[in-house]
Amino acid sequence: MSQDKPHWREVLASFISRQIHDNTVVAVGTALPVPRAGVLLAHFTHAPNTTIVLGPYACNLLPFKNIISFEFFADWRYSAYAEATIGIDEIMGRAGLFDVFFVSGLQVDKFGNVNLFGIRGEKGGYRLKGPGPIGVASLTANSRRFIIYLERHDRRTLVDRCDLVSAMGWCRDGLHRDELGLGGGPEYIITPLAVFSFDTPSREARLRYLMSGVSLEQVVSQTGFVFDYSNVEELQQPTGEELQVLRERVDPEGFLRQG
Amino acid sequence: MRKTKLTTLEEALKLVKDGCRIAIGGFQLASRPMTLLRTVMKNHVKNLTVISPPCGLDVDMLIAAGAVSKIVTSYVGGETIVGIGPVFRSAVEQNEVEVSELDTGMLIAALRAASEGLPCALWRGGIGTSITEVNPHVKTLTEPITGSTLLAVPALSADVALIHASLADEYGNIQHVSHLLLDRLIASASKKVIVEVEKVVSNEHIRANYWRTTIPNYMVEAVVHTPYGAHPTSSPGFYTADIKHLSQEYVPAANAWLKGDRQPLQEYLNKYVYEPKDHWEYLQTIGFRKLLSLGSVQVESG
Repeated sequence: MSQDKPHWREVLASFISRQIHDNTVVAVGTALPVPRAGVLLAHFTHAPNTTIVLGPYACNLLPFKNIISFEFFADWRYSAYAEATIGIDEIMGRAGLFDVFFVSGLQVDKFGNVNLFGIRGEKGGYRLKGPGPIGVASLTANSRRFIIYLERHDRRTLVDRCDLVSAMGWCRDGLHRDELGLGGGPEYIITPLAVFSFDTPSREARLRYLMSGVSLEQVVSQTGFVFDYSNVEELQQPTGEELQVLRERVDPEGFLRQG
Repeated sequence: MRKTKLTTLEEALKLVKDGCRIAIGGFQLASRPMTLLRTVMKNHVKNLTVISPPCGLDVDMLIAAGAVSKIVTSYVGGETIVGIGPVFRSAVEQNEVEVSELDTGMLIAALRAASEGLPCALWRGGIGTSITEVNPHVKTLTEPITGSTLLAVPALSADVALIHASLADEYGNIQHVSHLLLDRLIASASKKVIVEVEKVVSNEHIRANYWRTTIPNYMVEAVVHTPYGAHPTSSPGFYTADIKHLSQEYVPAANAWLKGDRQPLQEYLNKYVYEPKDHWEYLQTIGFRKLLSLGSVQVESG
């Protein structure tokens, strides 16, 4: 089984795993299975002392052979892995508690601003109502960094300017994040085709990694903002050990390899 | 003689009248007070203002039943079953309900401010976003101590809190198994509190485990005994959410509503809300095979 060519989701999970540091606290959104798999992969390999926050539970999953896949934030079956409960009312404003937080969006722009509110209609209401603010404004402001994860890569999603902003990126309307007293900030935009980073003087996204088999032209034509592509590498494939841990412990049901 | 707070759904829900501000406990698809809410719908209460942290599909149903005129929340939906509540989405896009959108952190801070009698809460997360445009009640200010820019979120209080919990004694001492989510905070921000519980236990049981009491009886107005009362959402420590019911019965009907056909959801409400004459008949409609299959999962350790 481990000989199979890795699925793109497994490649992204392994990339995410390498961004997780040991001895930190990481919250995993349950509606984002790939970031969740990446964090658990890190936990089972190089980050055994990481506290994984699953729903309202502080977990360490090392004693468990494989992890049941749950889809819902407050599914109390997570408590099987818990060492403590987490007060939701205590963590939303706790600056620096989470080392990294993952967020998805209807729209993402070149400064890493994220829109989950919705798309505006002509008369000022919503033409398309999005999921809403959830906890994204607070958690992206209070985590040491955040990573934007998208399951699609198109011009409707990766836009030059978001209609509305739910999570503040590096800069919006000429105002920079640090001028507002906000710590942290977006570190990467991860998509099925590529990874963008923000390590540029202007804090605009630049193309950093390409998924194996994806061309630069494809990414340019499917991205709604202009970006620097002067220093691009191919995304590293998961190691044999990473694939084995992913397939046997993290994702035994094979959800990552579907579709 | 100590007064019992154990009562019937009908008696307890006399507190929820047209135009009330209700706060709903639970979080997304967990621990929603579904039996209290079904009774509210059955009573044809109108013009409610609903205050709740991330809502599940319960609030979607309340809107379909015509009970809601305003919602203060950070989310209404079914997570991976349906990313956004179809009736909620339809009502917002067609301006049929007023929505006051708040990030969960802001909503929590606003409930806390209400419980402390403050006019507003100060909050940082959300500075630089569109929150003040989307919700004009939220203001930006410069605080006078260090001069930093923060958000001021108006305090949020409710007339009545509706909560689902695990255990209670007849005097209204409430305990949650596994996790209390935001229920104590929601109770603290509300004038009156009604709690539905899985089990009614003796006062001796509560006393023997007093440190597990999550909402003490002085905060509680009424307790109703409703086993499986949170169905089709989950009840921590007792049963999981009925995903099949939600995804195969509720969501298709709600999606039809979004497309303009309100009949299927009307039939859903007839079958599960209006026709069962009481909670026991609702459970009978769902069926004990279904209810007893909503169990927990064995976790293999090694």
